[in-house]
Amino acid sequence: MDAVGLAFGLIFDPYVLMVMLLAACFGLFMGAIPGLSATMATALLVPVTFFMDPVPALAAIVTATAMAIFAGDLPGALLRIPGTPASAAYSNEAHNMTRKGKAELALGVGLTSAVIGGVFGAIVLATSAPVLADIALRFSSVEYFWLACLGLTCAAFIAANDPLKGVVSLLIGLLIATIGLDPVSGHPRFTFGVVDLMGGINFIAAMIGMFAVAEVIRTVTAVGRPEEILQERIGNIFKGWAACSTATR
Amino acid sequence: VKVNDAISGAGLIVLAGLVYWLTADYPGMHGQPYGPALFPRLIAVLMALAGLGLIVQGVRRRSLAPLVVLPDWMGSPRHAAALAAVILAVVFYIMVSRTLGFVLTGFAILTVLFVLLRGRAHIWSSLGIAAVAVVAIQQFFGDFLRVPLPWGVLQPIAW
Repeated sequence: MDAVGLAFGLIFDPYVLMVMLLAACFGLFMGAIPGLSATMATALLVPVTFFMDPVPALAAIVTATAMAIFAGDLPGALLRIPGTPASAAYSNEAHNMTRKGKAELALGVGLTSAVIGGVFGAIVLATSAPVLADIALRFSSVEYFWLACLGLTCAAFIAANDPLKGVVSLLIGLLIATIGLDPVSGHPRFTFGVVDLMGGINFIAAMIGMFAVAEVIRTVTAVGRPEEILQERIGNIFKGWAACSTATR
Repeated sequence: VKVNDAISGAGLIVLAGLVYWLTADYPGMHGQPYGPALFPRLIAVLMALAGLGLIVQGVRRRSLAPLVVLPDWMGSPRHAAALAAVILAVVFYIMVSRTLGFVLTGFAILTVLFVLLRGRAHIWSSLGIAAVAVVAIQQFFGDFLRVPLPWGVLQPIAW
């Protein structure tokens, strides 16, 4: 328990808190711009942290990453263009809530879940890292194969209204993922002699193409008046808590 | 464009056949029963099966909706032109950005799109926004984030 107290002492230092605030602003900016991901925010911060002490440096990187992951929800909910790949799965639903004037609730749900997930993950890692490391060492190709199978089947059947179309989009995605050099034999697949395709299709590029370009095309071909978006005040994003606690009662 | 599932299913089968044909000349791996063609072919077979499933589904539902539903913008030349402009802008960037440079290409594309979408009445503000946006993007991505945006003919005055 001494270690925990010591850790809090290290964190609640005015200098560290200031670094965290600045890193949070930086992460917010990086996450909210589609195409700039949390990984990129970390990569840009690393050279800056060389000139810092270890505690503020780690705090800066962790804060910027966590903030960037949440900030990806902002353009996802407001523009239907996810800011980071992590927000892509539900940007359509979040945008539908925005169109009904519930942007506040959508962003509140995003922020609250991000905080719960992040804090839970940190607690699990801090308390059971040795046990987890033991399990992780026993993870071999067989386990990875079944994990990938589980993920892929989930991806297909999450399209609840038409599972067959979910399977089709999964297959198209897998086909796009085979573009580039085959990882085992090094033979180029579907590159048609274009050197730029040898490294495969970048995830960020695919995300921008599918969400941002699609949204642009949807906007320029919108016939008729632009639809009215109910603009409710975006104030306290934790207002949804009240609905949440009454629902569970 | 909304089409009946049977048509998209047929398209999927054609795509699967194309994938199978393209992987035909992939070399095998020495001493291994499978090579780089295995995974794409597995996807192609599953795709063909899914295509068959879509055809069955489409034939069953053929009475519910017309075979092809054209989107509204096809009837409006202005919207069709806007869509064509967006696609041509991307093609234009790919073709000339390396020789003309990011700043000039980006400025041309943004100006044309702004004038097309906002109308000719706002041409001066469109030119201004395009210029500011291009310089800001060049400064942020090219300078701060170190993205190697091409300078093209402006190389002598690159900052």
